[in-house]
Amino acid sequence: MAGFENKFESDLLLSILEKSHDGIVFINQQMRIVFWNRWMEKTSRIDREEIIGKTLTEAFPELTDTRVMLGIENALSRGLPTTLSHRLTNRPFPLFQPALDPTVSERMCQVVYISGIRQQDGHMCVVQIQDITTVVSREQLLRHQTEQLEIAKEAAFNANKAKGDFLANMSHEIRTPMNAIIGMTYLLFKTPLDDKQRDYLSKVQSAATSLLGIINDILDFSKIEAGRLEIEHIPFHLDDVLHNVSNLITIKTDEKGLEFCFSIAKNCPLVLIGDPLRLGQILVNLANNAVKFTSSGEVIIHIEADEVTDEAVSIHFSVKDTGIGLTKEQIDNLFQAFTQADASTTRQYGGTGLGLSISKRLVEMMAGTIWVESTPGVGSTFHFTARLARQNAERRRFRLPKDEYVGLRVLLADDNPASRDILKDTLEAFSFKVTPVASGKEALALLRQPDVQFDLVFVDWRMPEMDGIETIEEINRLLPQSKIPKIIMVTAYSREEVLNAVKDVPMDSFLLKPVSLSIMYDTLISVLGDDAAKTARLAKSHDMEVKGLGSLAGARILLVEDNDINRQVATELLQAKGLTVDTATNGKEAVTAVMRHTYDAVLMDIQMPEMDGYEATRQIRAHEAFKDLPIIAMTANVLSGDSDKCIAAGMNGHIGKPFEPDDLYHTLVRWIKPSERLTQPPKSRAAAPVHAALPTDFQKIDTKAGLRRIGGNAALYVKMLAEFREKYQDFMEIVRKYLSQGGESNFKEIYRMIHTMSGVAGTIGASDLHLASQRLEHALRDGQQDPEPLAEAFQLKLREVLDELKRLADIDNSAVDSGIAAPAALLDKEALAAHIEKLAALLENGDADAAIELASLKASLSEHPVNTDLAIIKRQIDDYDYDSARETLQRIAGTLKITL
Amino acid sequence: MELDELEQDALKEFFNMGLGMAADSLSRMVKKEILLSLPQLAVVDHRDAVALVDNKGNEQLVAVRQIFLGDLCGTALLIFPGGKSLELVRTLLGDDVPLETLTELEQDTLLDVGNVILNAFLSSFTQMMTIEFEFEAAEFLKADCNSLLDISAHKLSCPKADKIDNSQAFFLMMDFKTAEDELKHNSLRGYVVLLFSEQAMIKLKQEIARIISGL
Repeated sequence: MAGFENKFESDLLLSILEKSHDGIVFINQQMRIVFWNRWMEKTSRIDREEIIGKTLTEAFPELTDTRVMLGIENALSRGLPTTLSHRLTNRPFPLFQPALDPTVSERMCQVVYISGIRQQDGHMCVVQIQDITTVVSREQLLRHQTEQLEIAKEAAFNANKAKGDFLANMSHEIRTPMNAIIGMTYLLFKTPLDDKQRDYLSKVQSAATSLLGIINDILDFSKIEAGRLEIEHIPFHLDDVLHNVSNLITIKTDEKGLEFCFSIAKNCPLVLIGDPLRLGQILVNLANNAVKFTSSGEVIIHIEADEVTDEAVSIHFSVKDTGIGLTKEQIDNLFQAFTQADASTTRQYGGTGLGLSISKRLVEMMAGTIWVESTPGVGSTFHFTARLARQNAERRRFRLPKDEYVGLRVLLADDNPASRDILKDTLEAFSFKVTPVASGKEALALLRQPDVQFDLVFVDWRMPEMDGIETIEEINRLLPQSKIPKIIMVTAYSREEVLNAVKDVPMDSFLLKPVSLSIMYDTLISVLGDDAAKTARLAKSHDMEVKGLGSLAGARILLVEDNDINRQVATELLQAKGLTVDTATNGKEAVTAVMRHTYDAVLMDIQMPEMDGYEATRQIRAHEAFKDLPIIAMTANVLSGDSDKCIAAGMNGHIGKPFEPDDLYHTLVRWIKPSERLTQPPKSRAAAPVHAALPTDFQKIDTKAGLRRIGGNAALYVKMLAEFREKYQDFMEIVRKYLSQGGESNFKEIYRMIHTMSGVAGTIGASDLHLASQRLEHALRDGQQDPEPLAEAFQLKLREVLDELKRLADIDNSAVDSGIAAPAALLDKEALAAHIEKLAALLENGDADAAIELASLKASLSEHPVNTDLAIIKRQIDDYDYDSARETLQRIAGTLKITL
Repeated sequence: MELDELEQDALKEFFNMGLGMAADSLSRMVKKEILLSLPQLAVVDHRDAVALVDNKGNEQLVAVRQIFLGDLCGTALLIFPGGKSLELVRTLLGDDVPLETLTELEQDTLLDVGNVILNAFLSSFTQMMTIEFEFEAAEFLKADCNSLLDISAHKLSCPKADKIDNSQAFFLMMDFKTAEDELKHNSLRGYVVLLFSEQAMIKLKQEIARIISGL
């Protein structure tokens, strides 16, 4: 080796190169190998003696024209370095790891570094080879593992998605039976109940409602998980949202005796565009939590605008409570799904733990954030912001109607400082001059001063020392009648309670907390306005009926629903309000029915056999005549996009199942315009005057309930009562006879008779008798009990009812008949067909109302030859043989040339 | 210090020759037509160079470095702009490796490719010069833009290197394309930077002047 001056140094360096863990080869200008280290000998299995002096291509012909040779040329000619990677130049040298047999093993993986070393007479080339077999196999393993992980991740993702879909489907499936439970409970409440039953039923109702809440949470959550939750952008009024929140929360704050207030900053626009339902959902969720964790004190919803432009507003909502509060650790975990503050509070307070994570997501969808501030033992404040668009023409909806009201002097007495401040702000928003005081005594002291005058006085009901009632009474006693200002009582307690307590208190109105602007406005108008408005308001609060419901009576509705129970629920809810209901069990029937009759509205289920609601709607809409017919979808399908689909199919609106009766009525009132009513309100419905012959003072018969149950047809009701009296006059003797004879067949016969009578008693409103007969009936059926005492009780109740019915003695039977028979002559074929179809539908459903419908039909056809056949149907109905009754009806329809 | 138009044109000419060689070598390596072009050349100071590479924030850049020593010493850098480096590897290799992290072998591959490109530049750059160069082996670097373009960070062991030297750079912007990219009008930008000290730059200018006069 030339170049080293010192033999010792060159020997040392050579032995270092010898022992290197990489392969080292020197190549001279003539391309000949001049150095081949030990590593190269071992891995190539070629000794240096064999290879030194040869060119690389002589030793390894396969290297000709490869990047190795190109790199060596570059190094020798210009000194340029080359790195050959494993991937781009795969195993260029035939090298093997020392222990491996080259005939069967793979070549080692290599990285080759080629570089030039400048010397006096040009360049020398060094080739270094590194064994990277381990690196390669490690990376292969890594890649394989990554792939496996990817597959596992995908599988987990799919499983999770399947789970989410399952949740969504299940909660959807559960909604259908929930509709039946909630609806039937509602209907059951309308039947005669004893206290125990009423108690059980109210528990069923509250359990069903809370179950529905849980299902809704799960559904929302699964929608969020699946990314299918959508936010609406519709115009709304913030005050309406608060009103709904108040309706839901006040019940609970009442129970716990908490103050519940709204405080709305003046800078906050109220006429907005966004998703009022979801906004309400967040507020209800936060307020519910606040109530849940607060045992005394107050819950305050505060609203102010963070940032207002002409187009949009960022609103800051907060819900503050004086409850148990949260620790820092609890706050950190709070907004995650399925977590609650801690396990022990879960047990104490319940809940799915989904509410806050849903709220968080909803807030984020409204471009806001949600956070909480809390001090354990003092209370929590949940804050969130939401960005909402503003409606163009913002007008203050609550403008006082007359200028003279501006600047009225208001005295406000409330012991709770938070509530007092809020009321003060609200009143000031109406431009009033407000003097707040903390007690009834202070209020009286002010009023007593001769130079001080107030136009309005707001007094809180519950105050220490002197409560609102006492204060008001004192004001009346102290001041001369002419000087008494308008007095309004403010209370956080439910209407019934207040109404009872303040019946005789001389005041002008009362105001229920939380006070929204609209409630305050209504109250002010009623107090300041004329007397008529005042009475209207007070009267209204007694009756929480849906506004405009009365105008629905007599409307004819087609109910399309395939589920028997849901059909029954909806039918009864509608009939209870005096609507005429025709039913269809699928889309096909619905289309046929719409073609044949004139309806005021169609309630349409979506998923039905044969033809679904979408298709049915499309077919109906295809006819020019029905383009304006209100069609309202009823569906348990609450996945996003469904309501769009309903609209796209041509439906007008959408009501989710299970529905609250009020929702159903609201929707109908919205879509059925009274002017569009094509049929006259039938002769007697809910609105009809009570029949002259019907005594109003019956004790044993709830005539109101009875009348309601047969749709308010008083004439028919009186007739039923008369029939009942006649038919069951000697009933007890017959029962006794059978009882004394004994024997199974006799028992069966009595059982059947009593069962029938029990139904009729229930219908006419003889609830005690209904109960007594049911007990007897059960005893007879089960045969486990001596029926005698029950028969005694039954006899007594029957006697009482029959005694009362004696006072019907005077009624003019012909008047009753004419009351019903009168329209008979006018009955055209269409109306008759409708009657018969309805009866057929009732029979089909095994509905006990068939008897009533039959009676009415019978009356209509009293002169007709088929009347005798109708009597047959009556017997069959009495025997609960609905199938035969239906066959008979089919025959009659044939005679009348009506196709069913 | 500036290069006049003539000097710039001459340099561009040399670099374009080198680029042709590099494209050839790459195409052969990946058995696919690779097109390289040089749309921009500038002589800039450190601050402008950083602005030209235009990486957002302090994101780590991936680069291949080849240091050259001798009378004219400096460093050649191939900088793959943030996030795009593996796109380039994929374009060149037609491979679909997981992109989260660069494995050792992937670094080697990038080094190999960068080496081929830089060699092409350096050989066309040095071919015309009378100066003798010595090249260090290509290295794989990960660094932020600022220090990558700072000559003092490269620890050049130049003989007469001035410590308070103002570094200067040739800044070359380059497009990488495959034949398919050409059809789809895709291209991936890369940067070749030659970093010199002020002193080296003077020497370079003399060399260019000599070459131009000899033409």
